[in-house]
Amino acid sequence: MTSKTLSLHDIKIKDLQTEISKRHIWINAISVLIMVCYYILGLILNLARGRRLYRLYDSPGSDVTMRQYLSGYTGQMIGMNSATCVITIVIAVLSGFAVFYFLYKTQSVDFYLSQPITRKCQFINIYLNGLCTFAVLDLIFTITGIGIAGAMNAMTIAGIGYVLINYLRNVLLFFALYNLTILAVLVSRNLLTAVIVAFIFITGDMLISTLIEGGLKSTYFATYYNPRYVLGARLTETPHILSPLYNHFAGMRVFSDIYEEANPLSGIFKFDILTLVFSIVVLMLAYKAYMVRKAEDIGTGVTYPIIKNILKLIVAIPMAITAAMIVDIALENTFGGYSVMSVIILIFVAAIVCMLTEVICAGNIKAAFKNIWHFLIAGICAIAVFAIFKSDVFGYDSFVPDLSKVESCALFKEYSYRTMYDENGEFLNTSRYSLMNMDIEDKESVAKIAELGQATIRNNRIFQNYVYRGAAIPESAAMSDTVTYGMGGYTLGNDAIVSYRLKNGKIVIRNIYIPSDIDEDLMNNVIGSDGYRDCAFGLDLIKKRMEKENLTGRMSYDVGFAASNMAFSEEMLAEFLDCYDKDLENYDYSLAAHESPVGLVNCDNNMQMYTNSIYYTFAVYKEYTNTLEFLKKYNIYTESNPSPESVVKADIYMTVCDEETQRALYDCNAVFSEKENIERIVGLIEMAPTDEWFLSADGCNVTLTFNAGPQEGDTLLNEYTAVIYPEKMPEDILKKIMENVVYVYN
Amino acid sequence: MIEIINISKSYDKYPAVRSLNMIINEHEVFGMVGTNGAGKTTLLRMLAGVLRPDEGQIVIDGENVWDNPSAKRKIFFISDDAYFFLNSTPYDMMSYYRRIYPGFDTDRFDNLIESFHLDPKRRISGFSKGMRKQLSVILGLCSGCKYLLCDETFDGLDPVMRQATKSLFAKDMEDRGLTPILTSHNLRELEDICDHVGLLHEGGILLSKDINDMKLNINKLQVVFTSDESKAKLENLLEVIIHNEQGRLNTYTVRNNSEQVEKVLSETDTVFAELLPLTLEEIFISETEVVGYDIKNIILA
Repeated sequence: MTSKTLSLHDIKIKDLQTEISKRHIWINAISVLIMVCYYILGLILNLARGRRLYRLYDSPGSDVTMRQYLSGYTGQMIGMNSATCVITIVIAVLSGFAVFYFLYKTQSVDFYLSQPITRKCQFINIYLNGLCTFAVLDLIFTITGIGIAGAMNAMTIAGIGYVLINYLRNVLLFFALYNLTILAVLVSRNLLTAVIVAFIFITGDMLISTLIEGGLKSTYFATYYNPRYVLGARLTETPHILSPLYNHFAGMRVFSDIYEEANPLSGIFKFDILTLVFSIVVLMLAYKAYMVRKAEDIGTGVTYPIIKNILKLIVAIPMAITAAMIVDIALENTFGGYSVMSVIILIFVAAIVCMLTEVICAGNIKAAFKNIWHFLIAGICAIAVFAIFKSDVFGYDSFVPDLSKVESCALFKEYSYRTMYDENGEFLNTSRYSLMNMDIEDKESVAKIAELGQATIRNNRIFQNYVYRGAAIPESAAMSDTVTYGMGGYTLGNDAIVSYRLKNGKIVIRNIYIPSDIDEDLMNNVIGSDGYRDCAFGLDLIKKRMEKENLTGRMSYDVGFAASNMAFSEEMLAEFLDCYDKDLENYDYSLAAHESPVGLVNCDNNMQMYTNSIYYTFAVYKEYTNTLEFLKKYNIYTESNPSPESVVKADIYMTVCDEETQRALYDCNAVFSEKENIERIVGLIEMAPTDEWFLSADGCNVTLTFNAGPQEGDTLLNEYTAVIYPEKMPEDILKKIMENVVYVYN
Repeated sequence: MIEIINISKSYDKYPAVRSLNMIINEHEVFGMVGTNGAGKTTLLRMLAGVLRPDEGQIVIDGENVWDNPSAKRKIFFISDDAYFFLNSTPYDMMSYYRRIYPGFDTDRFDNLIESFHLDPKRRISGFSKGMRKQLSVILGLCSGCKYLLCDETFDGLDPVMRQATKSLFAKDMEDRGLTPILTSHNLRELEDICDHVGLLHEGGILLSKDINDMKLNINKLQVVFTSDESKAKLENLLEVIIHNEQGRLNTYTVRNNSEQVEKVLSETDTVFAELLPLTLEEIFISETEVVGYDIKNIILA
């Protein structure tokens, strides 16, 4: 007897493995076929394509540059974020079903279980055969892939590391899904049931969490804010204990998110370790299931009724809730009361799922009404969960954390006209930056605003504030990226995000709606605070960038109808930032919500937008005296109102709103070409609002048409649309406009 | 020796074998007969270590068979519908069993395959049912096992092959002490080959005896009595299992040996009396009729 023999008799492991491999040769054949297509043919084709594209679109570079470029293609195919995991999933599931499929046929059960091999040895050998076959095949093709990529000048040292780590992650994923599938096979009595059970085991956690996060929370929690797309995977992805599949993809997303960092792998360990632990537990359960499984467990259903009952509830409750939610959305009743239709559908789906489970498990249509009381449990649980979300039983929408447990907080709007770059010149998402860095000290004011803002949304009052105020009403930049006329303004308040960074490391984020009639002092406490301004304007970021990079380019001062520009040096930029920093002392909610700027300062890298852009925009208000002085000092200051002599005509388009409801009633229009009127109008116009907190006002738009010829500075336009406020207009002009109604709103 | 000690087995709520005790001795052909659903196949599957008894144990040469390779190496189970690998040939199966059973005799396999005119390279899926049974028997005999469990194995064989198989069994019994354990509905077949018979009914054993003893202890006689008194006297003296009366002709199946019957007959006034030989099939019917498995009930029903 050799050392590699099984206990009690002398069957060699090698012999047994050879025989088991012969039995599952078709799985191995499929695996090899898929891997040849992907790892060899797919990789070669993709790299050939990459090489062609490199030669077409990239400037000629060194071999290293070409290698770096093509290594990206290698990464796409066999790297960390490649589709190799799909191959792994397919083979893991197929193998899981194949290796223990013999348990579903009396003939094969009699054959295998009568042989002189212990059940333990049988399980271990059959199990290891599938696992090792995949591990070896995948390793062979991974190394082949590395070889091909190396031969095609498409592999770097770091790339090899990532490909090998991807291989290990694939083996881990296989290990997890293979175990789950085997467990499903071992607790089922036929293939159909096993497929259903495996599907639930593998995807159940993911589907339920998707239902909760993507469905119930976003549908029924008015203040729900999903920070995933803003904060990125590293900060938002958390491991799912029961879902190796989710953990694998989450790890890929995290890796993708932090790929540029020094140790991008550090972020994915927690996902993989949890998957490993969970998979080992599943393996132990599978082993136990095999050891206690009776040879006669063939036919219908699952081996133990308790498994059937648990699975029944796991499927019935989410499906019933999903159905009720869909009905609610279809009836546009998400924030209304409970509709009879939703509840009926919920109970109906719960009942249907329970009946189907019984029918499938019994293989008999007559079994539909067996265990009828399970309908009730599923229905009651589904209604309870549905009610928790629909009625916000736990007060998600009204939740404000205990401020003593709050480390810092932030309040910001998701969109801003400002652009931000980090110290390396990389573009920054302003929302992400605010969520991560804004530190408002006055937590009480933030909490008061949040409470009001949350209540406004939850109580459906947003719609009272959200009225169409006519085509002539200008919107703030926050609503539409650029100021829009003709589209019309809606809002009488501001959407905003509030976040609390708790001392325990958690972040609580809520979507709120701040009504226009909010106490401005309260808002000024927050928006006018250093914590807000430092983060929202990010002047420190520019200064840090200047320490690393020589920021020079052109600076322009744009007043809407004209702009002057000049080359700027680092010193000039520093001087400008100091001036602007001082002027930000004037910035608060009152200014941002009601005033239009007198001009915009833009800094760019000689308009070479696609190469190392340094594009920044700074709104300048009339209160920003230091900045205005700076502009005057360098001769790029332009008056914010054009010279009346240069204007040929002024076309004013105005919407008249109902004083009480603020809804648009009609539009009126008049064109003024008289010199006297033009002088009066030009003196009253203001630049379009830019700040994200600007409230849709009663302004109307005025389009000035210029005559030909140079203006102060460089004329940009022949026409210029600005804002003019009716209450500032002379009565005769206002009267003339209102006499000419051009559109009546329904 | 196989000891079946108080074993019970149920499928869900339905009992298949109930508190069964039995001993199967070495070097004899053990035939297992029984009514449909009596538990023969269940018992064989338990003997093979496929099914685990709910209660009791099966001991093979002193070792419990459940999950015990040492005990199971002595067993080869030929199920009613034997399993062969997909697309496999007899050689493939031989190759597999050779690795599983260390005592597998490949030379003998080659000889037997040739003798039975089976093509070793032909796919088994193309074999007839009888050819598959032949192959199973060949594999079982070549495995070197001590106990060959055959579930309805003879039912698919033609008379020549049946005879050949019987000869092979006899040879192996003689050469290496093989103990075949057979189930069959063809009691005439079993009668020819078996030394010992176990009769199962509804999960229990009705009798387990040497076939000769069984025949000795159960007899059938036809009698025409001279009077009712002599009839009553005979019925009192013999252990009557079954009694049929057609006119004056009485047919009895009695659980007495022939000497006892002859003695009673000599002491009884009869017009006509004859002791008839009993086939295994008749014994089966007689014994099961006693416990209510009566052909008349089935027909009447």
